[in-house]
Amino acid sequence: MVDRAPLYLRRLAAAVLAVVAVVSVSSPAAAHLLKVFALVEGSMIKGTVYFARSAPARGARITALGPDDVVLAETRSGDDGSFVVPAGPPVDHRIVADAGDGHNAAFTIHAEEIAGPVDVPAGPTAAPAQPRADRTGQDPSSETDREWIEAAVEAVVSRHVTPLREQLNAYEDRLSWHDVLGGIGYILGLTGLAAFFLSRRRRES
Amino acid sequence: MAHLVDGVLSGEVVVGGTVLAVAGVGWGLRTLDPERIPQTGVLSAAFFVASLIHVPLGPTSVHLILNGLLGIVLGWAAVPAIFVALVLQAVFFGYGGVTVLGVNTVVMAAPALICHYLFAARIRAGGAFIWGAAAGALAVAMTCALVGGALALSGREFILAAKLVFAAHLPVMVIEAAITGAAATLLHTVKPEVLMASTAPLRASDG
Repeated sequence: MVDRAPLYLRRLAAAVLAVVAVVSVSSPAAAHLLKVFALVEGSMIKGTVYFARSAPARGARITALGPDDVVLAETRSGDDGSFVVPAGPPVDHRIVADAGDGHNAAFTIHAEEIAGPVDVPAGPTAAPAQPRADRTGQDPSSETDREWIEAAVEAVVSRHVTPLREQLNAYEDRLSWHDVLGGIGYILGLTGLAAFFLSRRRRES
Repeated sequence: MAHLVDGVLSGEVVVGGTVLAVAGVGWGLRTLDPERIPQTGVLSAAFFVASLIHVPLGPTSVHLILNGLLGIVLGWAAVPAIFVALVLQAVFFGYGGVTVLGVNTVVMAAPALICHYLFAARIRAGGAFIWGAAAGALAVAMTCALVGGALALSGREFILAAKLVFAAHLPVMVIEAAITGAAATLLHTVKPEVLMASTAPLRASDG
């Protein structure tokens, strides 16, 4: 009985190492976690629903809720998990996704991100270099020009910032191996504690 | 999928699940033989890691659960093992909500226990692969049914939810059947007392 335990432990430790080895060579592990990510683009809210670091969530029910849970818009996500809903009045929008199988997630767009309906001109999106070359020589003081520039800047900034925000979001989703090892460490620690208390209980009885 | 999140279930289901889980964890710890603590810890770690391996599949993504394996090897000790792993998954990775830990424990540990009573003795008697595979598949199927049931009790459409969960887990059942069958065969051949001890009379090995 006495010499069995260490042998046991050795074999089990080998098994754990094998599991860890198999896991670490497989594709980056992903959280089993539904996430929504959304951005305001002009007068629309565009976003995606996905299982963190893995598959998009198809056909998930998307609801945009204003303050007091008023439903502002509703839709379903497409095959790639993306969705578009019209932005409502400038209030906090809570975008709630429901995959229908017990997964749901929420993402909040703050009121200040929603500037109200702005029509993004097609020009800068189609040819990004053009506005600067065309416009530098002109008088920017006229009202229509100012609006045009504002809208163009907003479109360009949004195009550049969106990938960054998506990347940042992906960072948050990433499963860290430190956490995995930490979790295993906790379990081993608890195992030790349990062994300690149970052996004491047995000694007393 | 097996990990339900906060805000999906009704209060009654959450409370009911928590009560059952506390009772199960308590009984599991009370009857835990000190000799079996290392196994419990290692299988708890295996369960913890298994949920992190993730396969994108159709509209969703799935992971292994391994509750059948925990059930046939650990018996009642599977309840605390699963509970500890779920706590860590919720804290570290946000898998499953914190308030619904009880429900998640029941959803995964109850099938483990049922498999233990159905299959542990049969595996010992022989045909380890077949009965182990049956335990692996059935445990996942029962977990799906319980998830569907928990959603239904909270006012979701049961058929829709259960169908979604079940369909996504068919491949998981196949994989778990293979894994649990292989593990049962290995244990039966190499270390039969691992399976033996799990159904030994409670604490009778003391002294």
